[in-house]
Amino acid sequence: MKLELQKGSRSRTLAVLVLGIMAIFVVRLFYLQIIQHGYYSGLADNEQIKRLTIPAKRGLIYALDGNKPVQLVMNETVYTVFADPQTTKDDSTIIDVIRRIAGGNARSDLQGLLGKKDSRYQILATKITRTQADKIKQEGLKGIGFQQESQRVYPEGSLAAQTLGFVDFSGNGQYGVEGKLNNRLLGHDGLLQSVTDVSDVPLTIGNRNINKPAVNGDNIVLSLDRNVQSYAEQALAAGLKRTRATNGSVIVMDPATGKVMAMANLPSFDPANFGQVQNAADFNNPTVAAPYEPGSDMKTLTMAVGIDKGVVTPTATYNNLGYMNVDGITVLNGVGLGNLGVITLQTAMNYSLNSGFITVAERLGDGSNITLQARNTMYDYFYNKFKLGQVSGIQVTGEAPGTVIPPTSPQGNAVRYSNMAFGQGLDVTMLQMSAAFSSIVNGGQYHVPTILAGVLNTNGVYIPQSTAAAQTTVSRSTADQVREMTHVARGTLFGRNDTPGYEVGGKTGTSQTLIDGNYNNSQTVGTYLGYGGDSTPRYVIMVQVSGKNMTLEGGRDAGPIFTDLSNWMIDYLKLQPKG
Amino acid sequence: MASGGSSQAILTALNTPGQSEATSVRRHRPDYYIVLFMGLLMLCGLIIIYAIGPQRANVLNNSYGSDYSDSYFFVKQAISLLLSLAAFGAMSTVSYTWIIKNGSKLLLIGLAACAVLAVAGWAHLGIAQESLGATRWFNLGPLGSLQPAEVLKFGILVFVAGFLGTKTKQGRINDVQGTLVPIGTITALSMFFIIIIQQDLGTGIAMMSIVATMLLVAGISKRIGLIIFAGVLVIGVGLIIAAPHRVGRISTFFKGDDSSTSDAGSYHIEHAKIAIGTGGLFGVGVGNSVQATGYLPEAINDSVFAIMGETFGFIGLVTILGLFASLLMRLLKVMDHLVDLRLKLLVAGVFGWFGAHVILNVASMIGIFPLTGITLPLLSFGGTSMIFIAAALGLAFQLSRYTVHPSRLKEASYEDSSSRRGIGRSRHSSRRSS
Amino acid sequence: MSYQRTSQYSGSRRQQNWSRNQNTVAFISSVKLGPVAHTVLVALMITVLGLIYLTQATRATSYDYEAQKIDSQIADLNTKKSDLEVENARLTALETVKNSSVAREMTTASGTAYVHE
Repeated sequence: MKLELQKGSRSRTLAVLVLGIMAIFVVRLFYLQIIQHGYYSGLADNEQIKRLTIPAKRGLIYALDGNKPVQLVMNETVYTVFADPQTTKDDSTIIDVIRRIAGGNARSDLQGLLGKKDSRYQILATKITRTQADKIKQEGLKGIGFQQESQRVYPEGSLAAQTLGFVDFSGNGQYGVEGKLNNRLLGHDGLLQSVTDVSDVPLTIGNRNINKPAVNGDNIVLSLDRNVQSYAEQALAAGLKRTRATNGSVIVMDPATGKVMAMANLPSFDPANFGQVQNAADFNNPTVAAPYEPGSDMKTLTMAVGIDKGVVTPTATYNNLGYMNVDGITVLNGVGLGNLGVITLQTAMNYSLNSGFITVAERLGDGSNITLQARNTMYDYFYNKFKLGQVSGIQVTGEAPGTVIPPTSPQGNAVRYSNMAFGQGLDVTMLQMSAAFSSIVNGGQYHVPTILAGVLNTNGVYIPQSTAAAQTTVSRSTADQVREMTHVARGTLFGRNDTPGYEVGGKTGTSQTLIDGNYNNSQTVGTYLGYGGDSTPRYVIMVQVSGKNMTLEGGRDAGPIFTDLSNWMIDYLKLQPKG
Repeated sequence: MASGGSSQAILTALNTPGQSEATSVRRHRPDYYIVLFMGLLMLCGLIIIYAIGPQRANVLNNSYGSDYSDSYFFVKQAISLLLSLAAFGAMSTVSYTWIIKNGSKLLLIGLAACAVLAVAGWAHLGIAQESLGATRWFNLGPLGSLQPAEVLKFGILVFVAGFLGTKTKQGRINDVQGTLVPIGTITALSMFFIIIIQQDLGTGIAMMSIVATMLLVAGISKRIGLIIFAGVLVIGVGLIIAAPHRVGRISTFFKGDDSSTSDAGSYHIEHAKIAIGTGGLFGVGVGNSVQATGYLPEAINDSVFAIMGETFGFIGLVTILGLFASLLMRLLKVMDHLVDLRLKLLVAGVFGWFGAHVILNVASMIGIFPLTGITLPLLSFGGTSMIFIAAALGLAFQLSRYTVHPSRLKEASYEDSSSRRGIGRSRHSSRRSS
Repeated sequence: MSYQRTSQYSGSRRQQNWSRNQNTVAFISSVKLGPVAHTVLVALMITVLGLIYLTQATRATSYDYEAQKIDSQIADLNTKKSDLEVENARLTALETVKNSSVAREMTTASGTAYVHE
């Protein structure tokens, strides 16, 4: 393409001018596109590539209703209404609508918030439901936006509040199952990194886009039975009202598997409003977190040790003097318990006489002293076999190990072990006691107590958790004998309200509490630990009531709660009466 | 009286019929390269509009709630293309003598259209479409919109070409009174409408460059040319300072490559540079332009060069610039080989129109000139601009039939007949005669 | 189809470029296209090919907005589903059932007696 422009003509000037400018353009383009390519690509990426975390949904928590999982803790989407004061018009209508629809969830000073015209984000109302948000959206107000967030909702109200725990404002579980299994419930957030357009719509352009879907948290199924839990809480409440005690706890276990069917504590709280709880102690779950001196309930275990070792039998006798002399210290049987003279250990069990069980401890030794061998035996059974003084690993936070002092320690002398024989001088939790007792009533197999029954997978199929292997604590015959002893013990004094036709047994416990390092008779904790069932024990129930400066007794105060719950359990489990 | 003399000059120009000197040149086949380059450019424009049309529709749908379909912009561009080809064809067949004869009428129509628009905008009539504080378009309903400034440009092109051509032939090119003042008055009047009422500095600069190119080619003396240039510069600076948004654009320009995306004023130019920069050597490919999805404003009309940079890369942009340069060079060649001065000036005007648009748009997109809001001819989306540019190119196309062999140029214009050296073609016996 | 002898004086320089006095025959089509028609046809062919390429290459980008719309619909429906599940749990909760009208109609068993086999 020849141009053939005339020499010296203005057209040649123009041609040179235009070509020169074009050349400048090309040079500049080269600079922009080749030399500065990396820089501009970086700017573009900064602006265009957006990372969005895809939040994972927190796992739901279920309980069992019979064999069917039912929801205890669910997630609910709530909305926060915010305003952009710079773009809002007609503030008074906005305030009116928000007050009318959001009601109490609206912030108080709406006028002032909307008046801050230089800010772009002011929260007007929080935690409103979707229906409320939809109504506000229908009003079509300008400058109003909604933010979604998820919060826990409890359809069963405050059922099993301390066992469940709650989720705090930063999304972490606190107390109970929410705290302990927090990592499983959290799941993993997903990631969406993509080139987006101006309104954050992801585009399919580019080959560095990442789309990692979120992994929702596991849906946990607890072994708690919703109905048992509810009735346990009801019975406990009634019992506290009757005895005017201030604190109480109930634990119900399945002796065949070690699964906890109910775990109730009073005073309780409403997990949906955990922020309004005044006393943080209410969050604690005393069944696992408050070790105490169990008192006479321990005698069943001491007896089991003795029988298993072959040094005593239920019908073995001794001379009850009303007190025992251990290493120069006099240990009393308690006040007004009588039955002096030669009695069987069964009688000692019936009337909860301490002397009988110190005798067992002595007989584990050389017959009159709680020797080191005796102490070692007792410690072996209590600590290693019955797992007292150890954390069981149950899936709630705050489990305390309690204290069982070994004979090797200077504290572990004969006096202490004589006290341990009847349940003072050691600290255990209700859970440990119940699990140990369960191992006796089920024939000598210790099942690790657990509150986790399984998970619900993403298709909604219930997958049970495999149970750990059981450990033998005592022989079968030992277990049967001790169980029969408790059955007889209950029948002697406390069994008149039991539904006939079923085998129910148990042991009272009234333990003194330590005040300023001394045992004080003016404040006692009442406990009742027992079992019930048809041909085999189906449930183990432990009840504890206490109150400041109150003397609560196991038989009088904790017992009725046990009876109430036990009779109900028989009906609930639809047990067949024994012949 | 000076004004009387200049108005006299205008009247003379209006009444002079077309001279018949050009009829001595034989009509021949026109320069099809013009069609070729124009067609290639229109095709590139169509490709880009096809690729980013859906995204633009989406951006508008999201922000204004309008309901543009994905192919809306492509179909509209195709229709504009067909209309432009029709205008091109019309302009290349309608006899140029008729056009030149009616140049004054065209100018008056253009001025009247601008005046009507100004009044309609002032009275807020529906027919005037107001955007960004200025009324630049007629809203013709289903027919789309029409920009009277384009009509005015065409009118000035034809009229000044005719007027100046006549005057120069009479040797009165440098006559301030008779020639320059009338041209100046008309230009000033048009500038008044365009720059002050319609607030469109870009179109104003383009129109100035049409007149300036014509004056340059007509052979204006350097001294007067410099005076005019200086005067225009002063007025230009004054106009810029008078409008704050223009000052903003200048300050953004002076920040150069240091301006960042966070700066509100330099949003447009920064994103244009990002678009061009991310193109690299070969571009990201058709349909992979991210800036067009809403980051770059005016992606479809004013900033289409930047989008092409992102899509086609350095190679593509150099090709596009090459196409533009080739088209401009063909126009120069046509202009250079024409004999009649008025025709020369017509083509010079077309050259100035086209060149000004291209240079201003590209320069502002790559950051070596402040933004002026001027469209890229044939590539930008927008019917009016494309149709009128095609019409102007059609006129040049028609005039290219009347070019002569360069050796004859001196022959046609030489006055001294004493020597025939270098004049005309070489005269040998033809090989064909047998 | 028509065949012409090369030595015909048709004025076409192309034929004269062939060697002299050669009896060669060439196929000359009767349909003659001038250069303009030629160019136009080639341009049209290129256009069509280009359009075919274009339509295929840019197909994916329009799906972005569809996908976004559907995604937000899915998210919306999921939220609604969870909310309904919560409602369902509330309605079948123990407290609600206990206080419901059906429960109030029920009476407790007065006593049980056993029959010995």
